[in-house]
Amino acid sequence: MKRLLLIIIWALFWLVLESTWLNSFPTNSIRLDMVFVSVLAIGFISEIESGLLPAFVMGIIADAFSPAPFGTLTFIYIAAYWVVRFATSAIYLRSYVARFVWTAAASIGAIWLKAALFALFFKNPQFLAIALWRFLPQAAWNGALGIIVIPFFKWYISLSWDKIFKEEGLVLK
Amino acid sequence: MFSHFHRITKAAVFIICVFLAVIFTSLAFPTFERVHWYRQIIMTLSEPPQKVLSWMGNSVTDIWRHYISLVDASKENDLIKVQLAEANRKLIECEEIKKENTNLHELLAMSATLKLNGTGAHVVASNVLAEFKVLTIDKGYKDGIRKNMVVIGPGGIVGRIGQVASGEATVLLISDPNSAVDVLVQRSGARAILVGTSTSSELKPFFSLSRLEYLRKTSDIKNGDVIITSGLDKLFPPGVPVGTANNVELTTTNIFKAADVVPFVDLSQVRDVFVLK
Repeated sequence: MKRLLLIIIWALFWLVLESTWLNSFPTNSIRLDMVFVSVLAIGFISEIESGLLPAFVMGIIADAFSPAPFGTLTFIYIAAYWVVRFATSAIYLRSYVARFVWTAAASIGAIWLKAALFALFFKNPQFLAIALWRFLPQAAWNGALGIIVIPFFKWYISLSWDKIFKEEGLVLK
Repeated sequence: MFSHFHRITKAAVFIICVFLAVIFTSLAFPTFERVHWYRQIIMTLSEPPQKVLSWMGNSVTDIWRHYISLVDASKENDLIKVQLAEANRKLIECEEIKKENTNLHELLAMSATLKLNGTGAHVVASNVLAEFKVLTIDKGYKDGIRKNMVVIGPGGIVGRIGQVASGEATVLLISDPNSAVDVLVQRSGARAILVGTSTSSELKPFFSLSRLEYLRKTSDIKNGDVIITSGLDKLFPPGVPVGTANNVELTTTNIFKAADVVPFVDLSQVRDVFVLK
């Protein structure tokens, strides 16, 4: 429960920042997508059963912030989570290489899946054109983010009140 | 005795005469550039002691002020720092207010020209997905905002209202892939559809473009032409400025012409908008 609460705070914090101050960071078309990278981070660090609910919750929160039809992002996030779970269990790579490669690969999949769904929902092939020119830079950016964000997120969700408030070096007898 | 008195009287008369001569001389040349010789003498004589006394006085004052009487200097310094920070903050605030004021003036002038009523709103957030170009404004259903109302910004059209919540609403920008506006080339009257996505400059930061499509091959359009709304879509009022045409070209099918449109309103930076009712 504590972990889920921390994840909800994390998702809300980043979505608020991404919709305001960090909206054009690094550019208008390549966006900071911390929630998506965090879902992939859960795929890296959690067991299948314990990671599914956080991925679902983050998807719902992201859907609430997005103009896309409700549920689209939840579906995409859960799909990306499964991809990472499968990839990390099937193919072994060194940790930082794995973080970059699997985050970038999952991003490419998610961008195209999103584009296909939006094109279908809105009957507008422009979304496929948008995906075509942004999927590589966005995937590279997400991959680079993954190298840094995944270990940080792992540390973040392991936080507890004791860790935050207990004085360092204090030994209780 | 008498001769002694007489000598004193003569000396007094001489001194008085000299004194009067001096006064008359100074009165006779009131605009003389340099001081008169007698004043020069006095000033020359008085200068060294004045300097010495002044130096001594200043030294004592300096020692008192800078070394002895420093009781509140630190507190005063802190206070001044706070006041300076506050003044800087107010300056920045004033700059913001000035910018906002200019924007609102432009918006009001534009709505007056179009003879349309509306309500002003602030942009509070942007969309988190790169695929969509959507803004959130701080006015919603309770402020009379309804779906498909037209939104203009300082200089031209911004988009139309999408989803409406109680206290806020989303604005579908003219650069969104789902946006389509019936427009005219102001100079020639050539008609076209303005769609959201431009294929050329999307990756440029802080640069939102739209695209003119379905321009007939024979349409008279050139780079720099002003594009305005036609009003034929029965959604956007006629005559609202949209932007300028760029990169006019024939499409690959060789049937239509197409062009990028640089909107008059910087859609990535817009902060104040006007919703037409």
